[in-house]
Amino acid sequence: MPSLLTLPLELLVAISTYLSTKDLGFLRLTCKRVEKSLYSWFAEEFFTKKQFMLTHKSLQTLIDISRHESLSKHVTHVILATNIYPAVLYTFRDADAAASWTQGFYDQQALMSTGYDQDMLTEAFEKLDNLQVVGIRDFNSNNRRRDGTNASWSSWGAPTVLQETGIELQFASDRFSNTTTSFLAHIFQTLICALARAGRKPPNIEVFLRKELLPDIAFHFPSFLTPSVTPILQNLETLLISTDRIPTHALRHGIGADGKDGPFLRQFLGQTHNLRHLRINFNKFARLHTDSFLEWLGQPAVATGAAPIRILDPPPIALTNLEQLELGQMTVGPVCLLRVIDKFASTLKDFCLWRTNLVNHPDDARSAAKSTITADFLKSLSCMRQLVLTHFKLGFLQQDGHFTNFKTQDLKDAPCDKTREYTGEKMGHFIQELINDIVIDEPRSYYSDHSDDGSNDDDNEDLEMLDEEGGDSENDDE
Amino acid sequence: MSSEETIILQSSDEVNFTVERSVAERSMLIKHLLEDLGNSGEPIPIPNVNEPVLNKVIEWSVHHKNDPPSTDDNDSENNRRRTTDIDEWDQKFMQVDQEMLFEIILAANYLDIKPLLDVGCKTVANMIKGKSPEEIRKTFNIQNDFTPEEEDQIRRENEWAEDR
Repeated sequence: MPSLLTLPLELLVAISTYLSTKDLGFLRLTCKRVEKSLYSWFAEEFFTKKQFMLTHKSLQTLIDISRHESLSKHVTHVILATNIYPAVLYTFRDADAAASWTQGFYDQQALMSTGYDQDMLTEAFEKLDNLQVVGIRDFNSNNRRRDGTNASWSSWGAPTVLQETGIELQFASDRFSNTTTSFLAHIFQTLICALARAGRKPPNIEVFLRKELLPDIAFHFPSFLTPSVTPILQNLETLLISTDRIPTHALRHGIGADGKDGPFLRQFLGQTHNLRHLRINFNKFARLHTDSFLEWLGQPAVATGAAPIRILDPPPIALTNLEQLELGQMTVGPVCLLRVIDKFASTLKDFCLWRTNLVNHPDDARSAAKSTITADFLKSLSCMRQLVLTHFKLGFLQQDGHFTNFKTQDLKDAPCDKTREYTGEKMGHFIQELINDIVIDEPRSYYSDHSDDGSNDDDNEDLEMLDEEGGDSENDDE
Repeated sequence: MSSEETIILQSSDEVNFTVERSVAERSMLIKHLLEDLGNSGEPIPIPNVNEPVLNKVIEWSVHHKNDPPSTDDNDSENNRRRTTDIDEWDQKFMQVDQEMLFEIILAANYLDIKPLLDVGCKTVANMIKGKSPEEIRKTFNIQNDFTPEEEDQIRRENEWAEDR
């Protein structure tokens, strides 16, 4: 007689996909047979990729999982989210909530200032043998489908804080704090140093920040840290970051004119020799910084030993394995951009240009609507010697602040694509079509692009330039 | 309607059912079989399904014979909301004893009738939802064979998995 216990495994699993996490947990508790049958699905869905935050409770759970003989083997991707107790005055529902929040606030401060967060991460990383990706982000992935349409994969421990205090932990942002920059630098440096101390060298680092960008100082690993950090950087294959020029006031005053604006990312990249995939999201409103960085990135590498290493003026780098380059959130001149692509042309297979405003040289008197800057850029790209792209993705482009779309039919007022993507061998043809289809929008305010360019919540991933959640199937599929 | 081609299905206990081809083709197994071999007019044996169960499956298939074909690509699978809503007719249809419920699920699986399988799985999921482990055991006649230590361990793993 058939029963729940005698069903074939795939049918038991099919039934379990309709249960909430809590119900699934209760089903696991019914008997050994059910628990064993569902175990590998359970481990895969909930433990492959896991998000934590800098609180003792959250990191302790990470440690507990890393000590679990079997679940620890499933963990390949650890995310630290930027949840923070901001120094803001709240009105609490009662004294207990206020006390709980206040304690949480001071505990988090102490966790960070004593370096205990780094100790805890180190302990966990030591045991996570299969760690492949470490990440930082300031949002929750929202496709925890099993628990309803509004459920998300929050940082472990964050919902409990909300429950106990009535206040939701925020992701670090300048709206709540003027110390965001140093907090973000702290998270990034703590993460890297903990990996170094644990002797872990995951090939992928993914930083997805939507609220505030990583400051340049986050990438500063001074010489006394170099011996332990360098092996990590040398092993990196994928580096995805959002970064910004950073107000380094002390440097401005103390260093001579040859000190580069934002030298530390350059130094950092100087050690990532094996990088295959680089994504940088810049700050669209900091054109000078982007230009100066890209100009540096596009310069031919200097042979090692040819020039003295100057900490604040790192020499150009080679990145001889770079296959995939994604650049976004820029305001940039095309010449500078083309130089970068040209430098990596012999290895580059995949290029993505996202939310970028291509701007003319100020001497060009043509109005944005008449300018052919985007078309010229694409033409140069297709003519570039040595460049053989097999994937090209572009979207939410502007030229001189006007939106650049691609018409889908030869009709006036025909709907336009904001993004285009191509994979294959006929890249020349794809680019020619792009050029033919360019439509420059009516002028619109440049500062309103986030609300006007079709970005909405669904499209949030686009800010990060690719649907990075794609690999998570059940977990996130995110 | 009367002119429509009919198919004879034979249950494991050798009872014949004559059904319209569109009804039989709710089963992907039979649909592909008919496409490959044609309809000889001979009864098609369904060795894994007995008469009462096949009767239920046919009842369901008759009611749903005009449903649009399910898109079975992975995309719709992944984007599917994890809802356990079941339409009213199907709910009534599934009001059977537990043995029959699991028989229908097994038959739907064997005959490859995805929508019926989904309804069956959702029905079982609904019997689990909101119940404590002890209540689930009672519902499905399961014996608890965990030691208290093992239970604690699983409870901890569950906590790590939950959104908390």
